[in-house]
Amino acid sequence: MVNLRSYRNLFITVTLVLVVVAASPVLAAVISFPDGSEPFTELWILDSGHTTENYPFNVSVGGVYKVFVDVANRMGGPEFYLLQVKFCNVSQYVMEVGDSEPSSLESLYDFYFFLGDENVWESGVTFGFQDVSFGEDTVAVGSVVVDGVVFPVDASALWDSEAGVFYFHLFFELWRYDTALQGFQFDHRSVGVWVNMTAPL
Amino acid sequence: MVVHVIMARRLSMETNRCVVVTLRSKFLVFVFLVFLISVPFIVESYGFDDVSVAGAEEALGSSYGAVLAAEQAGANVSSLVAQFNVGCEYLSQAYMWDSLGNSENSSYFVGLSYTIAGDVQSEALALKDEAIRASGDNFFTTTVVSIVSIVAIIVLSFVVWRVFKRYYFRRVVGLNQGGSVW
Repeated sequence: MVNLRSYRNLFITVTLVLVVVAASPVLAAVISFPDGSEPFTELWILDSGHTTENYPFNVSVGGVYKVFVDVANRMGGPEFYLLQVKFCNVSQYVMEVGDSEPSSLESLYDFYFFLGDENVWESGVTFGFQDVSFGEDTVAVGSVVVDGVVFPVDASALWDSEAGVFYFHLFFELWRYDTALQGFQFDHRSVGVWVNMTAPL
Repeated sequence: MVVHVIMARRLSMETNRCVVVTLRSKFLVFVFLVFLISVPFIVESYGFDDVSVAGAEEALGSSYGAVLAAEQAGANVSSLVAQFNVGCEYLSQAYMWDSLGNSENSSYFVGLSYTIAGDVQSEALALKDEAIRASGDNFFTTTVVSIVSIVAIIVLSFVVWRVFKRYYFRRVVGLNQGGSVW
């Protein structure tokens, strides 16, 4: 048979559980638990059909090409981003482009945007080329047209005999505003498309 | 005779006081006029002409800091996103025209971006204050309700225990008085 002392313990236990339940809203407001997930930003590029199959590759003077650039904020709060559009040849790419450091190449166009947590930003970017001069085994590009605006550049490519192309690279570097440093910091992310400059028919 | 001297002194003091008051009023009017004249110069010195593209970027950065603080205080900042992005678009345009050497267009977009940055910042600060106030009120209400609930639970539990103990001794043990548990 259960004695009175056991009943008393049961009463105390039930009372304490109810007290903890009643105090839980205040405890939840005071105690904060660390979020285990790691914050990050996604950056990707799609072709004009929103797929990854038909990126523009063979380009020529006067042509207009389109890609979509997307940024997804998984940082846990709103972020202020800067996406820089840059253009280079193979040797500049080898020297400059990577995920650890931003390239020192001058930005053609800067996309500034503010993105809420778990939101995705997308922009269609059209591009083309002007002032292209072909040599015996070199091509020099004088201007890149981004969204209808002509930007002067100075990039030339040597003939890649193995692939049979004149390689150029149009790429996007992602920067994120750091409130502590009061400036944009490279987010160690860049995406781009390789293009082959061809002579117009 | 003495009365006349005293009255003359009082009259003299009153006259001096009037002169001081008149001078003070004139001085205040003078200060006010100087302020009015200097306002255009002050406004011009802090006008958009002196704000560079980098300055507009810095202003948007400060606005972002204010929005972030408001969001961390629990405010819903979704209404500011569209406005902020308009400012961002203007800043992009300002940088573009600056890189193309068109300072007139660049200054125009810098001004627009700077204005929006200021608007967003002031709205973010208002939202933050509102969120802090609402959060404080909410916390106070929650605390009061929790304390009242805890007291009610303890009192009710004690009463139930007393009733149960009486029932236990009557029915189970067959005694009329409680034991020595409490």
